[in-house]
Amino acid sequence: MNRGFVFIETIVTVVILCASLIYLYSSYSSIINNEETRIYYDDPAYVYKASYLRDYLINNSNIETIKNDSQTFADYFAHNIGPIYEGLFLGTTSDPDFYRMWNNFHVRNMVLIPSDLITECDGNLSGEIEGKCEETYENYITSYHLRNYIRSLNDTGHDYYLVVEFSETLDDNGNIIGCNMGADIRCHSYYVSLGI
Amino acid sequence: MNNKGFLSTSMVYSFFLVFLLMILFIVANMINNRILVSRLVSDIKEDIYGNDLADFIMDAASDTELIYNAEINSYRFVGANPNNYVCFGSTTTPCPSDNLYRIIGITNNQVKIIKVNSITVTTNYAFLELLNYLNDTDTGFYATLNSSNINRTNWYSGNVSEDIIQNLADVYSAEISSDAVVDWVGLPYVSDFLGANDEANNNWLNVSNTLFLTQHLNDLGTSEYYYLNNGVINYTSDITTLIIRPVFNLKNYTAFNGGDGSQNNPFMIGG
Repeated sequence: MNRGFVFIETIVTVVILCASLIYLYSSYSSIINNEETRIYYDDPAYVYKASYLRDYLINNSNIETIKNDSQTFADYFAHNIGPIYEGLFLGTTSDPDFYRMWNNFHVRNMVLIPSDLITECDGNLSGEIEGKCEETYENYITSYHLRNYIRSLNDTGHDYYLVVEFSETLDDNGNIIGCNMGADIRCHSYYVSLGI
Repeated sequence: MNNKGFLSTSMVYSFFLVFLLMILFIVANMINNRILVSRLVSDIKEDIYGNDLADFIMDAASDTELIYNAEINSYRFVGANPNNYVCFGSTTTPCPSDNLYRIIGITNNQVKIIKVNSITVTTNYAFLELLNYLNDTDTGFYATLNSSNINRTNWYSGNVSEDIIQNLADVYSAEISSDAVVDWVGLPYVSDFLGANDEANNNWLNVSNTLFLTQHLNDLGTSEYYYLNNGVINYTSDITTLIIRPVFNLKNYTAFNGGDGSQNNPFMIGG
């Protein structure tokens, strides 16, 4: 009598459940993807590496002068700080020890940002600030992953932050070596931010 | 007999339920792990920042002793006898008197300190000569210091006219507009003295005959320094009888290693 009803009922149930499962799976995949991305953010080992770089800069460079110079962040909310950044080290274009640390830690990029970048370049922007934020991202934070990392920051307890990008992969012998994201296979970038 | 549909539906529901529970379990674990890792990273970062002398003092000092002075954009210790003692260059307890300093204030996370004991100068040095004397790496005061914690900063000649000498904002403005030399060690400015006044004009820097680095603006072409004469700011060209109390800035993020800032238990600093 009602076999047809049971069959249709089963079909409807299976369809609803399948739709629910597909929805659940896609949500699950999205969570997993976010989680896989987040393991590259503020990894404790890289936080320590970044803290060595930060300490070195604090004690041996003109980073304070650069921060306090009103012109430094007049046009942009960021500056790429590296071994060849002009004026970073007193009386010299570079610093051998810092250069060595930079290479040994496989640092790919280091950006000095005021906390304004975190607070101002978020949400609906307009006018001068919008232009400054766009210029900053176009000129100083060109990497898509670095941009995503900076956008995930919400700590504004310090006036300035040092954002460090490390890029590493394994060579054929299983040793960790530096690499270029996008150019080298299996190259992973790790991101750390520290107040300075 | 007619419950085949019911059975198959129940089976599908059961699988769905099990699958749902598995996903919930995995997501819950993941969230839990994320929270734990975030706490760990946060603790590590606190460790990296947390032993900073300037941060500690800002947190620990009494609100009546360490106040923000907008006129000089700096936190200053004020009053008759604030707990602002620091032991520099020694980890010995009690701190040797020659290593005892007091904190003038904190500007941009940089702690400025002044030596408690004075040193002597036997020559009437002009501004540059005086700084050279203090900073000589062989025979100057600088040579006696553990320099790894000292910041090189601007030292201004001052050239402040008498008519504004009691006005903190004007004096400070004139000081930082004058010629500067980058060096390790200097002396207190008149603005440092004025900035240490509390509302009742109690001032822990009010030590008679203290020489200031701030110079008097004159047409003589010779150095005339301001100094304290029984609480009054005066100027003189003879500095040989005055009290010389060296001042310098500690490096940013100098580590804090204990102490409460009192004379018997001064702040201890690392490295």
